Amino acid sequence: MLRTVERLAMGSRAVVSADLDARCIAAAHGLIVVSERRWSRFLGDSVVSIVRAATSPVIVDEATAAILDFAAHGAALTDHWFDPGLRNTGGCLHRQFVAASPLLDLGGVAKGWTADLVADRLVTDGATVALADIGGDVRVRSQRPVLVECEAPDQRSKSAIFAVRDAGIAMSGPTRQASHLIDPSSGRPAQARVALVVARSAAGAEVLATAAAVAPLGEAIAFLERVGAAAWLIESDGSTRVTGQPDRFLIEAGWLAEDSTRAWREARCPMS
Amino acid sequence: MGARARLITTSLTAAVTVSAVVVMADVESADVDPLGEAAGGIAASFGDAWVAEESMAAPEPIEGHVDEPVRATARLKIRVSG
Repeated sequence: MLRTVERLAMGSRAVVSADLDARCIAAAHGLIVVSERRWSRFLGDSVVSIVRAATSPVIVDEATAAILDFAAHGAALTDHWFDPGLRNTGGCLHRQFVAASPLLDLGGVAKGWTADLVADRLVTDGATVALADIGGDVRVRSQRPVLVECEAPDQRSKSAIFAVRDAGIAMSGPTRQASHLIDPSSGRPAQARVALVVARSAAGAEVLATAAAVAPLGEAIAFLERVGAAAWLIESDGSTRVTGQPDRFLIEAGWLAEDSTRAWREARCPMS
Repeated sequence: MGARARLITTSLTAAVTVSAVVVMADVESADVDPLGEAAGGIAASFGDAWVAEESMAAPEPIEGHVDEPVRATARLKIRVSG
């Protein structure tokens, strides 16, 4: 039986689902709480806040060093269109030494990273179906297909639905009301597009989605192709570019419908 | 719970002294860091450049007809806050 627990964590709705008992699900949720306390920039005593306030190099715990190194690699792989605000763009200075970085913000990547950790923890505990959704950064690890619903940015159109077994999915971009994304080249709110990425990890999908939402289209396509990700890039006028054959993961197109891919989807049609 | 910091002073040479803030995650009374433990292989390996790139590649799609899918409640939507 699939057990699902939803709570508020990391400033978002956090959902953990697995075919495990309540104790295991609670333990997985506990990881999200620990992650928030360590990596939130809104908590004054978090590790991230201490690195932001420091005036000299900081020694951090191993888990934080790992996510900082990952964020630095993510920045490099996206030609720095993803920018976690690390002063030393190579990541840790040495092992767990981190340069004081007043602009450090792990924001979304911490959600994706934590979703990956939670899903792995659930599988380690014996889950055959494990899912973590932290504010829309989704990681699935399952022996059976799992359907993931993706709301349209306008929240009115029909949702798209993905089928995956072991994948991370993330979406970034402006809402109808506002854009929360900053263009790292100007420091100003970005003229963003919607970027929806399917990758092998939620952290990877999150990094790519954030970068691809703000980068010039040609550069976004270039780094997405370089890492082999699957993505939709949707401009404000509705025009759409895809890379990496993302329709392979679609089970119901919804707002992502394109005539060119309809035949492929209709051949599978498990939702009817 | 929370992070605590303490100041240490490390002598690199007789002439140069560097001060560093040591940040240690407080995991209450436990000796095991739950995040580090949960990470197991992945936190360490994701920190590796090659593995980081691998983690961004598209996963294997489900071939053929999707039988008996699990209808989980993950719901992708764009966040307004960071």
